[in-house]
Amino acid sequence: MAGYHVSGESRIMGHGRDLTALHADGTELPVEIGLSRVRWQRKTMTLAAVSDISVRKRLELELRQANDNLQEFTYVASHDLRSPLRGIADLVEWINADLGDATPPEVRHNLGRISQRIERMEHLIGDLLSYARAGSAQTAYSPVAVDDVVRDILEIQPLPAGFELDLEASIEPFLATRTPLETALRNLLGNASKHHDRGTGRVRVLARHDDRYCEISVIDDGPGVPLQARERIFKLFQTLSAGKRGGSGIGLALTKRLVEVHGGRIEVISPVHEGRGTCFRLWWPRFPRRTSDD
Amino acid sequence: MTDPTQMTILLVEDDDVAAESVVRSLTRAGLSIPVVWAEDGEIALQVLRGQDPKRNAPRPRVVLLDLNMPRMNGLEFLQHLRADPDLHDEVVFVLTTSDSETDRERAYHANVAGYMVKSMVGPQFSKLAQLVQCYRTTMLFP
Repeated sequence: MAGYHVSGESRIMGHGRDLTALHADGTELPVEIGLSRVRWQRKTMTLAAVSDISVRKRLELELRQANDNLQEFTYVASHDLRSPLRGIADLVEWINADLGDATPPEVRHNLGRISQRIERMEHLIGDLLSYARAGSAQTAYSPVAVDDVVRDILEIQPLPAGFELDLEASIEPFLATRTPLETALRNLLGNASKHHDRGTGRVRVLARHDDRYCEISVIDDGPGVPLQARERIFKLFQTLSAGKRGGSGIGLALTKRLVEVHGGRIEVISPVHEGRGTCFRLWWPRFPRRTSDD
Repeated sequence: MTDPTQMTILLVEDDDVAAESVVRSLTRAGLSIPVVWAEDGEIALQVLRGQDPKRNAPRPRVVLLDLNMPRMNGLEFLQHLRADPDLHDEVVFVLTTSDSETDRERAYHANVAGYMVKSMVGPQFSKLAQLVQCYRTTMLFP
């Protein structure tokens, strides 16, 4: 109270400390107390607003525990799942070497199938890790130009032959965390051709500033997303075209998580034109977010 | 001066396949370096102290250390090693599947000579064999 007595400014009592109050039923509960000076009946009075914050405190604790569990899971996934898999891969290789040219064709075939599955499993573990790591927001802000980001992505991961790009994204650079935004766009651009059902296609990337957000759309002219699958595609390990396109079903789940963790949102619109095509539209915040860590 | 070409490797690793993989990679690279295998940190300490009835790893020697092991894990092993006046100068390389930053920091804090993640030492530990070969022909041991 001392600070309030001196300055008389409205303030929260005991800022940064935990205040508790004693409930009439004898239990203690966490509270927040706001103090402000008011004129009442021609006298200067102090208004104290005491709020019970036990629900918020409990949720905070649960959230912290959930985060700790996720951290532990990440470690287990990176070490404990990978080591036996590496062992299996080695054993397959030794069996191959020991059998040499004398390997019966069906044995060789099955050993090859084991190796493929080991590789897929390694990818899955890697994907799980990226998904888990995507849960913490990055804070390295820099001016980002959407068209530059798209061009950088396509330089490393070009659209397949037969695909054309319409880039209408030359908007003013805005302050954003580039890496997660780039990852999100890379996944969307990759999907646009990966899940296409024809040898040729057109991918459009549009960007515009919309109030607090930068709105980016990635539109393809592929088969579209069936209505019943619209929710499901954003879930972990759900893929529409099973296996053969090399998708592990993490891309959109990861994209959604990245977008949401950084304060944006994403939606899917399909069909776009004459019963075909998919548009993924994401809203990325245009301004850095202040967090309590700052 | 000791002859570094006589180097011994003490391999501390709980997974027998991973251990064999290291041995095979050295053999494939044509290196005839004796590898002594210890299944966890406690056994490794006994071997280093010359208290193991069967296994013996004479100096000059290098310890290849896995981190995640039962009984005594790699980081605990390092604490014991550095606290032991006879063993605190042992040359230890970590060889683990963990790429966690915490593990790496803690290992270097215990003065390891290097930290290798298994997925990064090439197919079948090929880069590890190169490193070992290069190490024993260029390094002077404590």
